[in-house]
Amino acid sequence: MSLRLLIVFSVSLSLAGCKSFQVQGVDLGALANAGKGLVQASSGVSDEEELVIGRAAGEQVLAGRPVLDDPVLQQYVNRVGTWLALHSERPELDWHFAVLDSDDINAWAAPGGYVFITRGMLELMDSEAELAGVLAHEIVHVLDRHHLEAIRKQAGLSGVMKLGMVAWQASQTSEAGSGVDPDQVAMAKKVEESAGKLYARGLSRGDELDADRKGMVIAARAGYDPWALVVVLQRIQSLKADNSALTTFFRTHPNTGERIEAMEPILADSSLAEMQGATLAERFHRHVD
Amino acid sequence: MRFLIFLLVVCLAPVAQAATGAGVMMRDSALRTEPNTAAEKLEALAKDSAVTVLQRQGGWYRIRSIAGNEGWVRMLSVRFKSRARTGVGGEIRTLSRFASDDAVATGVRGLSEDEQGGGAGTASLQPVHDLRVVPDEARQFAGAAGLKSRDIDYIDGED
Repeated sequence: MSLRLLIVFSVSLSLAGCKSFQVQGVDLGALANAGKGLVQASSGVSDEEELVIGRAAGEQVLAGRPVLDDPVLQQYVNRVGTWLALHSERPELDWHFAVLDSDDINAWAAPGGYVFITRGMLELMDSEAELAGVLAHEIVHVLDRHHLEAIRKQAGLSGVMKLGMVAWQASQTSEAGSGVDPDQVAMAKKVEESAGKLYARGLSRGDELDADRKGMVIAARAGYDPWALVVVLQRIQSLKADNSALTTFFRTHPNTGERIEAMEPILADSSLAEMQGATLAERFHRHVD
Repeated sequence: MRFLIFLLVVCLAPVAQAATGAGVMMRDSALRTEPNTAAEKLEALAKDSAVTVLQRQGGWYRIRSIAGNEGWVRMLSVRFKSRARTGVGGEIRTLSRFASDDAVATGVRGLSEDEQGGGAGTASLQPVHDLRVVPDEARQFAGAAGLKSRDIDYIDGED
């Protein structure tokens, strides 16, 4: 980070609360507000910064995968997802869920509260509890900021402040276009590239297993049968590995059998072991079939 | 197309039913009379032995063993090997495009990044923002189906 960036950041902190103060196309008011959140955030990344990165990441997920034109189904998925999010540690986020018009079987999350699921994944399912299991898994990626941490590692940026700056710059450069410090543009590109690689390769095995385990608990908290997620995983496991609808899923997730194996020693004797819950297959099929 | 798929499902269901619940034990496990670990053991099932899955209840499958015994095993101990799609209660739906064999996902991470799904570039999130549902609507929706919140702690575990 250049000295000038640091100075800009310091100035912006003192401007917290300003609505708009433009310097070379840079809105210091917005940055100042982000800086204010940075100080308050326990995680080290403010909600505002997270949202900026999340929007950039979400726009990448949407590229080539249009939002499905089915308002009733979209509303249904948003209702299930929002209900689940209310049982998470971040109910205050503006959660957004969307079904993407793709035959692929997959789901993604993006920082700030974005969760995407494909039509192909929905068609693989048989109940609302299964949908809840997959959405809850993705919700955990947002809760625990898995993508943010991965982007920070991949971009090779050490400081939290740098990440926030770069995120904010990324949003500004895409809108303003010119008149921005080349160093800042280079860093913004680095973050964009990192996000691109992340969505191509997927999160770490540990993050995925964590999301399985915690997602099952969130689904259970919301009243659903927590084991429905395992049904989905076993169904995917039984499909042919070279099934073209699963190419991206297998590239971006750990081996499905390995995921199920990893659950056994942790969940077999846990509080979930004999827990049941609502499956709501009929309501699901009223919307999906 | 949907109707065609529906017809396929209806027509294939009886055929798929036979193969449906075909599974394999992933580890040595006890077949129990009830879906809990305190229940009486009916049979010792060896790893790799074939079973027929009949029903699920929570984290347990009711299965029939080769010996003809019916009882319960933990669902995490079973791997499906059929082409069928198993439902919550063991019901089957089979779609032609999900044709499968015994192959277990081997994971294909590390392919060229050029092959990532989706096109290059970005697309607007506005259609996604337009879909947002407020919490009260979600609460009402959950209440309509009788969904009730439960207080459950996360489970500690090492990855």
